[in-house]
Amino acid sequence: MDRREFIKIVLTTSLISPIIINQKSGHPHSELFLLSDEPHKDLPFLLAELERLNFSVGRKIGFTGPHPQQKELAFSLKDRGMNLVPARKAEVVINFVFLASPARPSFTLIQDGRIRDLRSSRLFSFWKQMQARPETRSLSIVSLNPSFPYLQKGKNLAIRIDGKVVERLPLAQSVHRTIDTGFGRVVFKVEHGQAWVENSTCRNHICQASSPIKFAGERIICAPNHFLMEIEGRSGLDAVIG
Amino acid sequence: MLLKKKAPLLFLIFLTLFNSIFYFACRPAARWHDLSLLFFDTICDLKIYGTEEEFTFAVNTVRDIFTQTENLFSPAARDYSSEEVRQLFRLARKIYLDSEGAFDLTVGILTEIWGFRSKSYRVPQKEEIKGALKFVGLEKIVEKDNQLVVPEGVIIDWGGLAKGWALDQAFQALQKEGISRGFINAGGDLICFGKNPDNQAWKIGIKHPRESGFLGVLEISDLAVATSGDYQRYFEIKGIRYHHIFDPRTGFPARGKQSVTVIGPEAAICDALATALFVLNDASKLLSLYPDYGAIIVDDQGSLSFAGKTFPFTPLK
Repeated sequence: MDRREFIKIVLTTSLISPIIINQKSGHPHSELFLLSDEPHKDLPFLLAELERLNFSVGRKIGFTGPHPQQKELAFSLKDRGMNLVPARKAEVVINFVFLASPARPSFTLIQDGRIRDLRSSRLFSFWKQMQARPETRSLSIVSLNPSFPYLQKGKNLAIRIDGKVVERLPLAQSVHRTIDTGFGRVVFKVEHGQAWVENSTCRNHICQASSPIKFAGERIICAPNHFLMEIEGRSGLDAVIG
Repeated sequence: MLLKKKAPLLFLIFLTLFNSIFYFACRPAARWHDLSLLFFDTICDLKIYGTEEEFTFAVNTVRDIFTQTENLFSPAARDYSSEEVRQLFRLARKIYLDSEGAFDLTVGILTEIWGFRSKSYRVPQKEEIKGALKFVGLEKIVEKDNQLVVPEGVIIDWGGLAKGWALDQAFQALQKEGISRGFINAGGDLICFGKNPDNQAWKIGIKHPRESGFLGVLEISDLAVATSGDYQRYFEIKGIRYHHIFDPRTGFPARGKQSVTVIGPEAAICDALATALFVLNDASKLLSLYPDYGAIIVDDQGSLSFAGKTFPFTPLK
């Protein structure tokens, strides 16, 4: 893809921020931007060519959202020995963006936040073939060796009552404890690096319904008991909602 | 001689320098402040950049507005004449009409018969739900002589709107005072303004509706976010999850979604749209009426989709 055209497309979508985040993360990372109505036909060839150019392409593929050709992609990549797994465990993550305006079919590789020139005559002739196709609005973003900078497993669990830390517990040790907060009782458990509320004397039991927490920045709140437990560590997040 | 001629000028320079140093040395220092407050049955986090004085002002303002909101819009409140109540009712009516009834303040009766108010959860008989639906429908409430006329049996549930409204009021008050960087996070609703401590957009993690960790990360400034999900207030009977977001047309908990997050300029509108989109099947139709708002939707299969305006979002699952 022409650089100017590529930058124009990236700036008109929300794609710029993941590129910047990955550039800053220091994690070796490449992304293939594929403008095509037939990614299931183009991607197996492109990935094979990238491997020929010594790019490491894993065998586990995942999708971070719905893709119109998800089934076809999974099927055609299976022929290359690639298997579908949950996105967080994947080595090749595919994302789909529907563009607001159509663009000429093409592909661009971004490596560590920069456009990478691919010197291969086979890729060049493929690129020319793609350019002859009608315009498309389908953009598949294929992350190779993706990183998840916001999912850092924490080491400690902080217990707060009325905002003050009353205890810090290592997540590596199993703990089953009852805490009297002065407003009620909360029973919580730490096991296998994650923590959750098992029981509480509160009315709503939202704390009990919360999923176990293990990543830095995650927390479980029991407001009636003025209780909060939080995984400590650098998460890169300013706030969490939901 | 030369020095003598230039003496008044040198004195002036000295005076200006002294004044500047004195001004900067004595000016109260601005820094980041954090505080947690207990409101709306959750812990609300406040993060503000400013002087001690500005922070004290912010805390007092947020406390006053949140207390007033809890009093005016609690389930027990029966004062339908205040300007705030009428103003919020008008906004609710607009979204009720725009969403073709998907967002409806009168679902209060459903919250009651399903036991969400008393915490004695139950699945009511179909006849009971049919009977309750006679008291559902915002057109039953009218504004007359500067007050709302609420018919007997109709129960207003401000839950999907009041928290967002409180955030908007607090944000406006802080802005007036010149507080331009920070956020207020009230659990499912958040409003953020200015840049974060790293001088970038605020990075807001959205909780995953089913698993540990985050669904993804939003990077926004001067915007509000609200999430409606089926994962906080619910009960299960024979493996079926019954949650607190009701479809006002059927009287049953809305099906087909795990969570809806709406991003846009006003927290109250985000709050109401998140509830409406949780109920509706076609998100883009409603969002076409709100071009400054966008939604991140997780369906009942766990698939992620987007509707309306797009915002910088990095999915993590």
